[in-house]
Amino acid sequence: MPRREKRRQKTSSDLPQVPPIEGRAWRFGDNISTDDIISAAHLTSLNLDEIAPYAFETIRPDFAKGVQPNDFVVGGHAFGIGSSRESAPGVLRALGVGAVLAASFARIFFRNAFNLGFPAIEVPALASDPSIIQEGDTLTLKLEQGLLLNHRTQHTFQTTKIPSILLDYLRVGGAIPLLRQKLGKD
Amino acid sequence: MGQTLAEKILAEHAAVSQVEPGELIEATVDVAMSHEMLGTRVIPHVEAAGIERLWDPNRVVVLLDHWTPAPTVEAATVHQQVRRFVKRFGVKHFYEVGTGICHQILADYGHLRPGELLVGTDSHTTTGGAFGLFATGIGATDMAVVLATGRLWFRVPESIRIILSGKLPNQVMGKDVILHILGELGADGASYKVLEFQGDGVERLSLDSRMTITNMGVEADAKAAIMHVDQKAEAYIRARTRIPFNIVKPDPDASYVQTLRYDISKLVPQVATPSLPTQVVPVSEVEGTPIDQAFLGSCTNGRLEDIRMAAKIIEGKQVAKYVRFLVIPASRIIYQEALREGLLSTLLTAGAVIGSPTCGPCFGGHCGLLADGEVCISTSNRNFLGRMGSSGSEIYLASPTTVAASAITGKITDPRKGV
Repeated sequence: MPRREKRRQKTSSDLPQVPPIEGRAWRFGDNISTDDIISAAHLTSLNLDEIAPYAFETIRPDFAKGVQPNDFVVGGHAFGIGSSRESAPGVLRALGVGAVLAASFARIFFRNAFNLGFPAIEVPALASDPSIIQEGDTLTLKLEQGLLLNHRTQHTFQTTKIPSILLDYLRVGGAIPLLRQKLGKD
Repeated sequence: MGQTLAEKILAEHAAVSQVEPGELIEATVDVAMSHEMLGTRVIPHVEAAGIERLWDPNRVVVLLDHWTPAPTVEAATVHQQVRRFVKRFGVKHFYEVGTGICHQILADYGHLRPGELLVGTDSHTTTGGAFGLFATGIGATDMAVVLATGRLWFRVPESIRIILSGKLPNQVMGKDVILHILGELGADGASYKVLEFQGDGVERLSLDSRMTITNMGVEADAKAAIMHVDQKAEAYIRARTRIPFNIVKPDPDASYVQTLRYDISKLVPQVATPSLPTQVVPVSEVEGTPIDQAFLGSCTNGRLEDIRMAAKIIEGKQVAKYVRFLVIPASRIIYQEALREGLLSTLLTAGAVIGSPTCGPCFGGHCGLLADGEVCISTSNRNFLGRMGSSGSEIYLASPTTVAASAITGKITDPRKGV
């Protein structure tokens, strides 16, 4: 496969950096399940945009209508527990959510989010004090720097370092563009 | 330094002699399993990535289990997409509607082999670990990557060692063991970690109960739940596959982040209360709670032992008035065996409803949903708010014996007390 070998693999430093994200906080609690995010009743749909209006329909029916582009979903411990449905981060991304912030994430949700190029960012300070981010707070996430600013309190918090492979997913819009490149499709 | 079972399997699949927790590795996958999620969410990624052939169609297992038989045109269309994919890419192992629930199909047809690395687009893929392999759930994008390349990156997980000793008391089952452990671990107690089960208690458990335990490991967010393979497990696997495999054992000096010990001979029936599988109490604390539905089935507890134990409890008795008792065998093979043993007849005589193999009610898909204000006691794995239907319904999770005893009385009942 000489053609593919000649192709220069892009390295992290070549990729455009993710710009800061600014938006309002939608506050959620601990143990938010993938069923809470999007119920299985909608999972036979082939179109994520079609089911996105049902995000959080059970626990937060005002969410899908009110959420603005770049707003943040802010959870506590174990955000995204349950099923392997990629539609859970998928509908949040489809609604324009900027990132999910939480004290900790369930493993598969975390992977699925990055695979879609959608940031799921751990904020360790949320683990010890959930009140550092409140409903409606305006936040700025500089994920390349690992910093989160709460405009109301003017406090800046560190976010957990993202492995470089996952940071690349955010920079290019997910794992699929990188797979295309690997398969020599671009 | 010694390595745990998970570390040994991952090191072998990354073609290195040693791996360490926290390290990112790229590993070769042995088996990739997908169900309806292939039709809804994987195929768009396959198209977007321009995948023209699978890395190895012989290592791909595809089946239909969640919406079976199709309850809506939309679900039928998803099934149609899956069949088209299977034909187009020459997927070797395809199991039609009615064959069973994915994790049971993997066991029934010899796809679970010790020492291997298996991924599936279902969080309960951890079930397979009962046969000494690293089996883990992945999402749709990861599946597209595996289908194209046969490889996937993993963060090497830390392992929690769980040592079981003793023999279960009468009417207490594997489900009670895992519910009790989940109650102690909590919803993220095993996040990014592996549960490694060992001890004489494991060897005394039936294979059915072992699969129930590894199945629900994911409710503590475990990446995999792996058991040591004994003669009983080995004989089961050899009867179903001719593909050679290696039984992997951990090093005696392997390092674990945590060791938990349980004497299961003292265990009492456990119940997970609404609305978390890790919110667990002994049955005595919820005894007498009225129920509207009892469900025996799912990848957690739809196996032969489960149906046998339930039939034994309900034989000669009747399901309580205004209560429906649903029984869904996890696979066609289990269904046929239950039929042959007369178990289904016993259950039907008692007033149970028998369904064909499907995940249906467990995830709120179809075949037995709940109305507002209703209460279900279920052998399934999750009791999140609205999981089985209305967000105003409630689910208690328990063992097949507790569920069968409750179906007779119409309220949550300790199966150790004659009903």
